[in-house]
Amino acid sequence: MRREFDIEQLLRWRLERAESDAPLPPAGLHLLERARPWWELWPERFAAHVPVEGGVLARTIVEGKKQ
Amino acid sequence: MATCSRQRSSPGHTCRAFSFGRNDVLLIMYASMRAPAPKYVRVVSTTSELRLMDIENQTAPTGYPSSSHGARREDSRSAWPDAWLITAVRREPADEASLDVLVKRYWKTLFARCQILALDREAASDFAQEAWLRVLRARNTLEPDGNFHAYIITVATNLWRDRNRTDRRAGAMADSRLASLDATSSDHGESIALVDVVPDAGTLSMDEQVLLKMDIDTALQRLSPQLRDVLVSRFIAGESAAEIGRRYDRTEQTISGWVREAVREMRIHLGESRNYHAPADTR
Repeated sequence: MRREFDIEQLLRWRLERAESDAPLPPAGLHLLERARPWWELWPERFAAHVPVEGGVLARTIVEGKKQ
Repeated sequence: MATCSRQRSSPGHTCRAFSFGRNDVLLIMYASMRAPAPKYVRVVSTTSELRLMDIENQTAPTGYPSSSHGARREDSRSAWPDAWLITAVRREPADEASLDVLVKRYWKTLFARCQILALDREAASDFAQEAWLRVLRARNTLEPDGNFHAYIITVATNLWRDRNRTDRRAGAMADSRLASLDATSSDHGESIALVDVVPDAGTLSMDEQVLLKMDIDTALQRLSPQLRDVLVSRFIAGESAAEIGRRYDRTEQTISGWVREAVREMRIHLGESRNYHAPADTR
């Protein structure tokens, strides 16, 4: 008897193969670093973009990082 | 005046308590020294202060380990439930070891879902990592008792949908749509039986499995992103046609039609590629 191929089974099989071929997970520290907002990573650049109020905030961040 | 009623387990055990001032967020560490083993330790604080342990007690799930025991605690993290790990990741600064365990726990399924949607290994890895970045940027809003696995899969899927929407606006998807429309206009009927051209995946050799993976990816690639999304949502995520319909603002019947269309196109594309890769089978 002929049977039709089950697309759902095929997709699930492909998903299993993708799981087994998955690359190594990224390190938590790396993700935390990348998740930081840009004004924390480059406070000097932030200060340059926002000269008055932002400058005060950026200086606070810079000084906080130095401590 | 607040009192810490935690009983010491041993004479050498140090007791730490933290308190915040309401205005100046002053962190005070009390009694971080060896004490001669009294039964109870009294912690003095003013009535206007909030104690960190009080705040944590409000957010931490029942049973969350509240004391640190160095290496023993590190080793046990992999056995922690999601709620404990999420609570540790929500802290400022986040607990890296807990984050590592949480990432590792769901990385493979997250990557696989991204792979079957994006059909590209690098893009899938990018989507999976971007989903983690989104989650971490708003980690203080994470609910420890929520379904974290479903949540991060949804974040990744939404990122992929957003990317498709942007590409569609830019016209980049036009070629793939044309390819898909061309395929449906072929002479293959809906009742095509693929048992002769797509064998049972479990019985395939490694080489055949590689070919079948490529064929499935090609068939999925030839679907429009919308049909691919509907197919994965229905068969992999297990969403009902009504649930998918709410997302696309379409009726349940329309979505059922889209699913049938996607399945029909998949069969046609798979039939074509199987015939191409395995001409001997059709003899």
